[in-house]
Amino acid sequence: MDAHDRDALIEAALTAWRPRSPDGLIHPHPAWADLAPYDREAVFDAALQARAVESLVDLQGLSTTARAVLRRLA
Amino acid sequence: MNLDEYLLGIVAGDQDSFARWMAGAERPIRESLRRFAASVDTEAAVQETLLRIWLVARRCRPDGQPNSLLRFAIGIARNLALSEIRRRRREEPLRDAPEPPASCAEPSLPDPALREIIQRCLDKLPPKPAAALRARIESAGAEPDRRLADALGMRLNTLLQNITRARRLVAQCLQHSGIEVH
Repeated sequence: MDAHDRDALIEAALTAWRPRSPDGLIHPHPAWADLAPYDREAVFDAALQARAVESLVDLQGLSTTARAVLRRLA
Repeated sequence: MNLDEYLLGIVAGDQDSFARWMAGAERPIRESLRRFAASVDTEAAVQETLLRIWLVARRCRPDGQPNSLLRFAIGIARNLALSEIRRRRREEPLRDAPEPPASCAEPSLPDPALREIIQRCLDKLPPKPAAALRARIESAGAEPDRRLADALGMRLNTLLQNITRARRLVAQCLQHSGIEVH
């Protein structure tokens, strides 16, 4: 895997979208599953930063993660 | 900040109370999963934890200390991560990191001034990175990136590159303002 592929996988894993099974269980993102352990830690750090920015620009202080969860309740 | 002020509302089924609780609780829950980051998709674990809290908040018994529901959630997140590791029978060893101390779970609210600065940085983005990042944020996990790319008339890789570029430009813009978002 070259650096370009790695960066694409990391960015893909940063979305709040996650596949779900018919019973509603949330599953890992396919891109995350393709990453090496060290790169998964990079995803973790990048997600902290991304969610912080999202929360800061949201009028209710909610990240895309929280919005995704709220949508599940509706 | 004590997020338990929202506990009664959450137990009563008030989604607004739950949203306010999540605004403060999401980050400490996510941070509590750091030691599992190489083995567990923490985004999935955080979402599953938040959904379970909505369903089982009534089981939380305040102990007189602040943020009992948050501590309850961090326990759920940890158990979910451990279950996932067992389920996948991963051979990757966990990092030998200590349990996060309770002080790590201190929630806080966003600073309105910081919000303005970030918004200004977002407004300065070139059109394509701006559109890509906006689509990702507005979708809020409702659609996979491939659909967002289709809607924007971009290839998936182009969308991902534009989002990465947007993040980098926002980070640089914030640094110029003397701000580092962690």
